[in-house]
Amino acid sequence: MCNSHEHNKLKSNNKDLQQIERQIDRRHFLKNTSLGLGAMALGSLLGTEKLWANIKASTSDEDLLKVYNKNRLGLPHHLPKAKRIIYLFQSGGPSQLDLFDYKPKLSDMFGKELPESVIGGQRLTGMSGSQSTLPVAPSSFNFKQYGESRAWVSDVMPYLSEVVDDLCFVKSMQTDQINHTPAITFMQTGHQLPGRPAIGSWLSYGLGSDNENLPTFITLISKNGKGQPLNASLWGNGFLPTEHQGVQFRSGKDPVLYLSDPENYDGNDRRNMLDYLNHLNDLQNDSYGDPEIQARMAQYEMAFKMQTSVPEVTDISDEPEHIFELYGKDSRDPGTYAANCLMARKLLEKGVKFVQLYHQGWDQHIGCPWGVKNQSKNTDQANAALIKDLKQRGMFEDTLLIWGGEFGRTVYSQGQLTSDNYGRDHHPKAFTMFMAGAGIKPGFTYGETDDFSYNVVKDPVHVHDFHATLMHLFGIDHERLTFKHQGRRYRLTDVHGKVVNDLLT
Amino acid sequence: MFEVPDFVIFLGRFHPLLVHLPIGFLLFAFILEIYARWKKINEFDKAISFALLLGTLGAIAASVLGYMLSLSGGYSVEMLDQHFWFAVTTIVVSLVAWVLKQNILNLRFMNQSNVHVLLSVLVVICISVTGHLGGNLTHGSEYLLEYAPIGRPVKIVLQPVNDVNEAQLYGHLVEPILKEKCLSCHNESKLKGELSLKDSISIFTGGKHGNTIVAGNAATSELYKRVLLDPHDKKFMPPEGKPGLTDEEKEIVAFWINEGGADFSKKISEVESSEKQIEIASSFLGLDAKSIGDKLPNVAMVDKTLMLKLKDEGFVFRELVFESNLYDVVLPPSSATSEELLLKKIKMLSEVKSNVLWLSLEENFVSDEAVQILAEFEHIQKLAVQNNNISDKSIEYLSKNMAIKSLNLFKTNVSKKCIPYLIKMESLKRVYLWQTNFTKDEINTSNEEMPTVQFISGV
Repeated sequence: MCNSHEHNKLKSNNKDLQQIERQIDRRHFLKNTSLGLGAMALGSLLGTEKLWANIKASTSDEDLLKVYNKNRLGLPHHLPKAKRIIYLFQSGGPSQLDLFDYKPKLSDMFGKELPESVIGGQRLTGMSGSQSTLPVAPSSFNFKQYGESRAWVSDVMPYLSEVVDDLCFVKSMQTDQINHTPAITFMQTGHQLPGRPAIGSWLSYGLGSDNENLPTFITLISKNGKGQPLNASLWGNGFLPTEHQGVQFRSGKDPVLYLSDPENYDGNDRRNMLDYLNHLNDLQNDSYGDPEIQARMAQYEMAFKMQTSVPEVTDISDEPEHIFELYGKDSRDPGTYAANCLMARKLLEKGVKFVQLYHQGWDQHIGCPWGVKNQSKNTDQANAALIKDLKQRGMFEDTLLIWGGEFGRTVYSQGQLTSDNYGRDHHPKAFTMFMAGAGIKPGFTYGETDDFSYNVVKDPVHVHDFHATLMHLFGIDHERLTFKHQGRRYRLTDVHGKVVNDLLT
Repeated sequence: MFEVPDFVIFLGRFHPLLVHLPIGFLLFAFILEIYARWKKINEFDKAISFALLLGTLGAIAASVLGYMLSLSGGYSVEMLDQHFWFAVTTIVVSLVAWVLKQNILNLRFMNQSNVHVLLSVLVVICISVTGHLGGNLTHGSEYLLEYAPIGRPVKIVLQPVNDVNEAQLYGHLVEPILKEKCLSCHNESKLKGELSLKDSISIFTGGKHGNTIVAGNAATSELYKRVLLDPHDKKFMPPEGKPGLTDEEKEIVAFWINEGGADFSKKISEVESSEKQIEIASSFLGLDAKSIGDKLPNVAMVDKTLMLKLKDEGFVFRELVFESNLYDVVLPPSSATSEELLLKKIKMLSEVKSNVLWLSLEENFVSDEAVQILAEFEHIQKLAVQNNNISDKSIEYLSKNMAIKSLNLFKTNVSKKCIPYLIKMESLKRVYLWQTNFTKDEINTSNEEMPTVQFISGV
């Protein structure tokens, strides 16, 4: 298409717009003039591949990729195990000491000062760092071993204990961050500061969509969440094209608003309207080349498709009684964790690649026993139900399921320690997560902590390693999926991360 | 590191093209010189001078291009240096020859033709040596005499073996690995780290660190230690950007050093070996049927128009490994509205049956007849036909398929009568049987009777 010709068509008679049209930024100027200016051409002589980059993009190579559904980034690098993923994020930092990391020796240490040798000079948070004493607080819950894998689970998660043989516990997780927002951001984007793409955005960017009628990456948050707030940068696209950002569904009856047509409008000419809009945006895109224009076009299309696809997938009325029973009675109450788990299954069934669940409230600085118990009550049955449900439908073998928070909690009590009450502070040096499903060793426990669940003594798994492993299961070499931004190439694991092969089947 | 612009390398590639031009000119000048001397004539002097000038200019141009080409790397530094300096010498000598021929400096003795002949001979010597070194760089130093009638080194070609025990531990297993992964840098001309892995002598001579191979002890052998390091380690081999050794290959190298005592002629049957080592060795040699099953099949590309037609039929294709031509194929639920329609689609899909690795036909009017066609898909590993009206007959058809690992029969009409057919499916690992005519007890007993297959029920 001839740029200048089409461009003229767009000239607005609005004064403000005209001013914008006159603005030509440096990049735009160089791009549109480099072919004509001898000096520019000479300058780019030694980088000719850049000079032709724009022309190349529309040649038959691209066309061929399209026909064969070959990935434009050359992915997957190897045969994937996982086709989709559900990440059950337990926001706040669940206490590994009260759930999975059983430390029987602690009962003899009740109330005793946590040895300095264990803390190892670590700088504690401002919340407990000034305490005059750091008394050891053993878990007030009973632990038992379950399944053939003899995995330890505390009494507060009775449902989960039924499916331990499908799970792979990683007891040696480590993060760099000790406070919520940086730690969650780190867990979800690989960096503690907001602005990097979330895991789901990377997967969407790298692998594309399996169902063009639904977003590739969807976020669900349990309603009435208390505790540390979550924010959209956790499922943000960062510097990746905007269409790869996670789409948050509202927690409640209408997960997406304004899907239905307004009164007195039958919606029949919407397709026409969108086609014309696309045409206009195409023109704009040709003259400015701003990727945001393409993203906006993709989003209009998606919104249009979601008008029909979302009501279909969010309608749980056709689920049989025994499914609601499986997920627990909360699953009938839209927006609860259980209902979100059920919805997540439906979304995964429809070809959504990444469903990100968040459940807040795992931040037990005070009243840990009661808090953990209550949190578990709200999530335990649904966790187990989701695993069973995915399994019976044959989806578990290519669905990756992840459960975990942003860090663990301390063995010492924050605040007063009594026989049945204690609090626990943030602890980044050791915590437990579990993974299950596609390509993950079932009935397996990896890594060990010391007797205080304070330091990792065997097989540490850093957040970057976790990310590398996750990408590996999707057929991606985490070192090779990169995006150039601000002069350098970025990846989810940046310059870190090793695939933990021991976790894989 | 300084990155060489592609354009420079692009120009550099013209070096072999241009380089023969000055050779021609300079040889021509030499021939004229000799001829003139023999016939004792002076008429050629201007022509000789002109040929020398053209030859010199051509040589300069060729050298510049040659330098550009050398920036692309990959050449033995030592040989490159020699080639470079001989090229420079050639230019200088031919330039001197031209200057004297023209007698620009107006020297007296210049009228003696002996000097001109001597210089012409020098030019020819220089250009021959430079050319030869250049040829060595391009083709390798063995190229020239490879087919010479005499003095050829005897090459031993190992016969491929059919029995893993007959294979030579070094010759059949280790050498191919070294050749593929190490030799490009560790050879006689490149000698990175002063190490060549070309033959037994050079291997045992080792590199600058010593202990390259410690017979019987892989853990202290530098060669083995280096390949085991973390890929980010500076000392990791092969270095970044080159394909590393696979786990299988590492095992083989360890096997050779430890059990094989780093011997160069022993056969596998002559050394102690574990079952696992034999397994790895046979799969490496391609003598193991199982190893072939785990590798991705090699399949042809799907015809473009056919692919477009299949997409029109509603099939969604997702390539499972880039450029493998192997696909995860999904027909979204309710894409077919009757058994006839589905059958038509499947018949069309069967034209690309070897390209299908995973296939999902959930809720799409799949019939037993359609499954009969699916049974012919020789590479299919996952088949999902849940929520369809298919019966035990389907499983009978599928029983001859040896590739399927996972079979989803959730919400179909299969019953325990299909078990004998399931047993026949050698690769089968998982069958999903929730909401079929199987009872829970039947599923439990099947699981006990057939531990290799997981029969998965529901709640």
